[in-house]
Amino acid sequence: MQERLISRLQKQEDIAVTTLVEEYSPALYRYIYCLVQDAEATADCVQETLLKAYIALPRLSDESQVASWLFTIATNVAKNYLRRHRIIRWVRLDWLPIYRQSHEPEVLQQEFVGQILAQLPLDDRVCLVLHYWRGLSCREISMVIRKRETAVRKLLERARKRL
Amino acid sequence: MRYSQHDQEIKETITSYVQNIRVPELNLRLQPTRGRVLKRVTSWAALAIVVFIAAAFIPADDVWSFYQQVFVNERSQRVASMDHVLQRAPFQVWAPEGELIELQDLGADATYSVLSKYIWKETREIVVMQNAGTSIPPATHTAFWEGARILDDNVIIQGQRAVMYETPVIDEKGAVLGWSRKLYVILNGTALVIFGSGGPELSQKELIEIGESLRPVTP
Repeated sequence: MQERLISRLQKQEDIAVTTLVEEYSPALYRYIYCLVQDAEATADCVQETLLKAYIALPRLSDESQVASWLFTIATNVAKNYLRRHRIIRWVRLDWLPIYRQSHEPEVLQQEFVGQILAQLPLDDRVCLVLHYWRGLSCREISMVIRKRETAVRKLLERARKRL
Repeated sequence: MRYSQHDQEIKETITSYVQNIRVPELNLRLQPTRGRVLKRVTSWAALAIVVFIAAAFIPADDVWSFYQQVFVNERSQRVASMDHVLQRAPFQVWAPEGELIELQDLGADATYSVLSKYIWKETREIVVMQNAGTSIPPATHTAFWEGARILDDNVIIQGQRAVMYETPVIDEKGAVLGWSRKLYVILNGTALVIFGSGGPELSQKELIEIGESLRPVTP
């Protein structure tokens, strides 16, 4: 089923592309949000990721790596976004207790984890999310962020300690 | 994939966080937005206009000399010793009134360079240090000196604002033996650190007196 989808993707067939977008856009949104921490910017990055993926579809050769291929593009898009916007970083006011709309433990926990992640270096965040959420191995992450497997292992170790 | 208990906790936390991120309805368009391209073109056009206008009004020689000054001279000269710093500075050495013991150079790479040491009023050794920065560190900047605490940040010395600190004197085992009072003052745009050593801590009055007696001298 997936192989057939891939061959149609390579031909950029509309239905196949729509399927790809519908299947992966929520995951891409969640992943990029972890890196960028801004809803509007995340939506822009998701669009850019899918656009780049669409353009590169004919060159997609490894049929079993669609997900990690998309996450590689998403990582680069997020990195580019953060590089362009590193001079001005907007701080969300709703993180401040006085602007908080909810004091439910789940919401506070969500905000707390978000703040912790935001303070980690970008590569640490990438490793943590891809490893623990997507279940990618160090080898697979190394292909996403173009670092050696041992370097990824060290990044993960560092990220764990920082957490 | 098997995880240890700690890993399992991290996995649960991150998975829960990611899954709880609310995904809005994405209005995706598989084409670059026209506004983004237009914005990029507009930015470059605006920059080109500014450069064109600047080029029309500023003589080329001035631009060239500015470039030489900022990008060639300033960056290519390596600060090798304190002499070089002193030549470039608008002053020679700021020193309190007193008897000069020695001039020290900790190297230009040191954050603080000892400019001079003096015997003040025949009882106290005063060390004047220069900081590369030109602003008084904010009161909240605790990393400035480890364990430093502010005594007074409303001191005026020679018409300039100064901050008075107390820093702990710590032995090898990390125990606080006492407190050393320091004065951080900006004169002529250059931050100076003055502190006394070789005796009991300097009083606020003494530090201010030293600050007021600062004067430029030639080594």
